[in-house]
Amino acid sequence: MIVPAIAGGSILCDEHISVDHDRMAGMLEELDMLFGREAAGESSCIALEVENSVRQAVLILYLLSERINFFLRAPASPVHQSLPSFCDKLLSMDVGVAHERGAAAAVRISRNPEYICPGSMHPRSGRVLFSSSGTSGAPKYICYDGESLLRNAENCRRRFGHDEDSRVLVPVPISHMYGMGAGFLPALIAGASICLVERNNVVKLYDKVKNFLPGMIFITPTVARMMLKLGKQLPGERTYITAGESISRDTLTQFREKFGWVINLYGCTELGAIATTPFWREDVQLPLEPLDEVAVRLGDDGRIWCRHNAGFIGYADGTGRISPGYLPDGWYDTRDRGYDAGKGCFSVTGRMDNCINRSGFLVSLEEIESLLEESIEGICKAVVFEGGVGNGMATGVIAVCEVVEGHLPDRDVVKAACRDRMNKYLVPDDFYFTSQLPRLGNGKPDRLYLINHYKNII
Amino acid sequence: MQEPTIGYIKEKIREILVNDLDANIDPASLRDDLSLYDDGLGLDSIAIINFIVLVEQKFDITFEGEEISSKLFGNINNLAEFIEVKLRSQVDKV
Repeated sequence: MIVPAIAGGSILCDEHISVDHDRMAGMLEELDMLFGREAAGESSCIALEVENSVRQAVLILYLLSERINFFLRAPASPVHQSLPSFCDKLLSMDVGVAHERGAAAAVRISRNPEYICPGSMHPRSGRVLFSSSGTSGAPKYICYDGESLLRNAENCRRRFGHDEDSRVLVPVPISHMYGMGAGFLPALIAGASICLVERNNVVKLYDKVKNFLPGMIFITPTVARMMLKLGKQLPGERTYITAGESISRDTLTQFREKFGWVINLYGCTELGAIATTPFWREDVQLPLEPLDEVAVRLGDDGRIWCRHNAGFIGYADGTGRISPGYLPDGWYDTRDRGYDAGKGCFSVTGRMDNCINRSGFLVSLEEIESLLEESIEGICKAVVFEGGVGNGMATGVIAVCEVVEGHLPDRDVVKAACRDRMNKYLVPDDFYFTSQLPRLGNGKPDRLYLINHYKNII
Repeated sequence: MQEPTIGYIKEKIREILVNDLDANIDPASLRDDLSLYDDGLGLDSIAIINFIVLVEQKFDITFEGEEISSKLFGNINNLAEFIEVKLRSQVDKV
């Protein structure tokens, strides 16, 4: 076992079950028998759709321990979207059945008809693949060695100060690097108690804070804003870890006053956790301090480069062929920009390109625009941006679309069409339609005007 | 001050869900015991927050942090019963 099970007094729980050390060991044995019977351990790569449940977390531990290759398929992938051809099997687990009759009855392993035997992925080579934000015809997959994931987790464990007495709430998806690499695995290797929450919303979060009494909670900036919007105080003091898009100083200050310590975690799927803001300091917006074993440098143009002790192997294409993601000297281009804040710290000011982090995926707004223009009838030009919270109501990713003359699309029809043709995390939350977008002198849409006035666009 | 009936409260909650929330809810599908979450109406995180804020505004009540729970906002029945008690306690204070 390369993954230590949880410590004596600790628990791993979700909304349905809670398991201790002995029970988890029993579940791992059950999986071992199942995989032996199905000869699944000799797969080239198993595709999984993982929920935040105890059963599926244990399944991930089993695969990591046995160095069985697996690919974490994006949750809620469109049904028609085929599996990458390097996956020979798809494993699904009905968590409800697993609770009643055990994993053996709940696991279904099916063959991927599009499997092409990839020479580069030998069985039990410890590969773990995450989805990238690939939006068009050539998706990329981010390939790790399982042992790197655990080193990444150890980096986080040290920074977070987890131990057997820690209680960690993970309501962010463990199928993504943030949830797995920073939330779940560091707490697990520390022997902490862990509560997994599936399909998080703020109401569920309030439930879990009251019932599980976590000392640390992993959230997203959107959840932080939602909590502020709701404005309801929670009993006790705890640390909140957030990652993804930046949060304004005002929001951070308000959050700190209302809910507790906020630590900003900086990282990416390719490298995992890179840096955090310092722990237990009053100033909410401090520069980022690289984790131990992680080096960061800034280029002349402000580009942030990172050399990591536990980063990915490289990008895999649909056939499993891996191309390196680093410079020959081992540095990785984060495509973020920032500035040197002194004393080995740095601050991030934004993306070198125009991307956002959505549901754990780095999403290019320009790519969403292209998809809307190319695949949705009647849309000739689209401008997509993040809405945040405004006018007392919460919003998300907004698309303002210029439509062909005489064509007035129904926003629900357009949204449904997008869901059919795009990954869920690419679909804008709201749409506005106009016969003519406001434009700058050079003919480009006036993005800034739209961000501030999109609700008045007709 | 007269306290509203449970029927009135449910109707008002339905109005919020259908007319004010912008969540594209079909009134015909709206049963009082239907979950507001993924296994029912499918309100997402943003919609749930907006819903809570709207309920507070429309009924002129405030939910405390300790009162916020999945069960309370699980369906119209649970919420209406809670609001009825909340409103009754306000009337008693007056």
